[in-house]
Amino acid sequence: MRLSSLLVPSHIVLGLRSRTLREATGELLRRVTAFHPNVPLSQILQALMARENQESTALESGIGLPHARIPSLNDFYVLLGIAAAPLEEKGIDAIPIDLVFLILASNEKHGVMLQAMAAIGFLAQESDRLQQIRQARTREAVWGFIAESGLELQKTLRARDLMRPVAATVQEDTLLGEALDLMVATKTNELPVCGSTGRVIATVSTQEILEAAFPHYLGDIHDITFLDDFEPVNQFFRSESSVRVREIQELRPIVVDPDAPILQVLFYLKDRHRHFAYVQDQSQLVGVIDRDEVIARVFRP
Amino acid sequence: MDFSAYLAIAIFLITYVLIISEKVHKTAAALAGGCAMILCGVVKEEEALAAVDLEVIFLLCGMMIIVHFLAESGFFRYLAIRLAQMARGRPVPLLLLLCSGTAVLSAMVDNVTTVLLVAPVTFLITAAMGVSPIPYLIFEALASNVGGTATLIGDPPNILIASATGLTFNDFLFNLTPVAAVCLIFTLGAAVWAIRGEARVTADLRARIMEMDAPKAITDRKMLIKSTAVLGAVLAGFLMHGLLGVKPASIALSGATALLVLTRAAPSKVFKAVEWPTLFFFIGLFMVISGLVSTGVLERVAQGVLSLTGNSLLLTCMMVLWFGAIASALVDNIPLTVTLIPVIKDIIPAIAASTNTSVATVEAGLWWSLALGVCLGGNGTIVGASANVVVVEIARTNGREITFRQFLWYGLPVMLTTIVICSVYVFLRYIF
Repeated sequence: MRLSSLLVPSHIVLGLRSRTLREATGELLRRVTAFHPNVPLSQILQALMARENQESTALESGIGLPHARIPSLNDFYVLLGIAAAPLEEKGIDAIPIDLVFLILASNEKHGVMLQAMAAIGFLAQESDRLQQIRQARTREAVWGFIAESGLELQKTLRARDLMRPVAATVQEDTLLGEALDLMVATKTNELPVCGSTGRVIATVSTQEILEAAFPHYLGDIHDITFLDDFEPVNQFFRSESSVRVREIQELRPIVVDPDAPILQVLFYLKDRHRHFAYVQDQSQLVGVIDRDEVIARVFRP
Repeated sequence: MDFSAYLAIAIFLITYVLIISEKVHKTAAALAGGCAMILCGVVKEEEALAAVDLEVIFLLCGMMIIVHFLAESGFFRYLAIRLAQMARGRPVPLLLLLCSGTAVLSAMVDNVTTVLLVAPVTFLITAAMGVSPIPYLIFEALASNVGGTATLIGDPPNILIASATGLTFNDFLFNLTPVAAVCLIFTLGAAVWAIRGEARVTADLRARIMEMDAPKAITDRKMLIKSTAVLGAVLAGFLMHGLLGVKPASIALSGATALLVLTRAAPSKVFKAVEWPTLFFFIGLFMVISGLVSTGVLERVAQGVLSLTGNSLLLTCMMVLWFGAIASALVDNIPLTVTLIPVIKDIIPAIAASTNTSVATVEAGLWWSLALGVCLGGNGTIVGASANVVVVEIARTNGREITFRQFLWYGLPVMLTTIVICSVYVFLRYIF
């Protein structure tokens, strides 16, 4: 199924005059023609804003992607609004939003919603096509450019659809203290360890740090409720400026191809009790898949 | 000897080489040997399967399950911490108490399980005290082998001997426990010598041990009560099994079953604690040895032994004791015992007849020589007993290396001296 098959010209609005994404969303819902959902617009807007308030849905290249699942909705909708001037909100690449793709789905259609979102994510990579869309004078022309892109809704979600850029990497000889600083700065609990060629060779996470801090024999004892304090553990935490990542890293990172189906990635994450899978394209780290994020996007898109 | 006897010897030797070389897992090697005996027609299928001693399998299996419940309750953690606190964090008393505790536990449950549970706590205690865990770990392994020698259920070779001979738990208690106690005293003496000059532990480090909240180590009081009660009943059952006319295997299996019922634990989870590779190792070995027995190979070996010792009970006992000890220091004592049992069975009537001694006297001398030799011989080297291997492995995973030479330095003198003690004991008690 093509993205252009879901987005009909009558669901495209040019020249949104709003200043914010919230206003633009409301304006788009009001101005779009041939849009007759069985749910009041106020309820739709409320659902969209509730989702937006959880976390911004903005992509890169000036695309906003407000979306919501509305259980009682009787159809699946993709709407597009093009703002006359950039909105106040910015995307993850700091470019102000001016293209508002709005997706509405019932619970049963949430799989299609994910696929449509992934397709729009691909469109965000095509800067020339986006330029054509922005410059189009009619909604038919806009639709034509989207149709020309030939973007299909993939039945299978793949790693590249749900990955995000890697915030930071470390090397094997990075000091534990530096790795900890990076984790705090990038608000993550795991960092990929890259070799000289940029390939992911290991990972270091708070789990590995704890495993290194607690001697192996404590694991064999299974329970340490009888201990209030234990000097060898304290000693480890005092040694962050002398311990190197190579001494504690986990040597079996989950590395997947960008085209790996999400099902496969989730299986690896489950099977290995890990939180992150690293997406590597021709030996180069191109993204990371966060288990919590995928679960949230699949179940609460 | 006919062709099938040569084939049996070849299969036996290949199996042994595979076990010793560790090229394949010893369980796989033993099972392969057993299957080869059947498939090559050395032994009939029904004969090989009948040779599998279910007494041994069920006794081991039952005790593994009982110990699993006891370990889950936190009993071993509690005991080790209490022993350390009784020693007030002083190195010598700590070493003596930990080794004695390990020996006593090993007499009641399997050696490997004992060291598996005691060694990690030893690491914890020695780390808190700031002393090296190595001598403690090595002597715990040695003490567990000595303690295991003392009873029918302490070490697998004793279980094998009991099953093959019908000797009771009390027979083991009366014949082996006294000499094992003497050997333990010597081992403890060696342990004290090993840590002579050990740095004094300062008061603040000793305080850390005393501040450990030992009762909290018991994580499941109900399970502790149930498992100690059942273990107590099982041990009482072992003491009386001769009178009751019930074999130890049935007692252990009944205890394990009682715990499964009392705790309502999922059997699928509990059975994961059973060391199936060990049980199948036994099964494979029984099948291999059945090939040697059915082809008359071991009978010829027995005749060879008799011609070497000139049918003398003393020489044969010493040969069994020392050969068993030296061989056990080099190879696994389980296959060794499985191999020697039929040889000794063949020797007994010949010696009794030629020396005009009662069969009971000859039996006593030879079976206890075998038990003492193969159990205590394991102390000689790092590979001599499973408990040694386990301790070394635990040390390695915790970043401490116990080298072959380091173990030999402590283990060999202990092994040689205890075997000398046993030689005197066997001579005085069964020959003199």
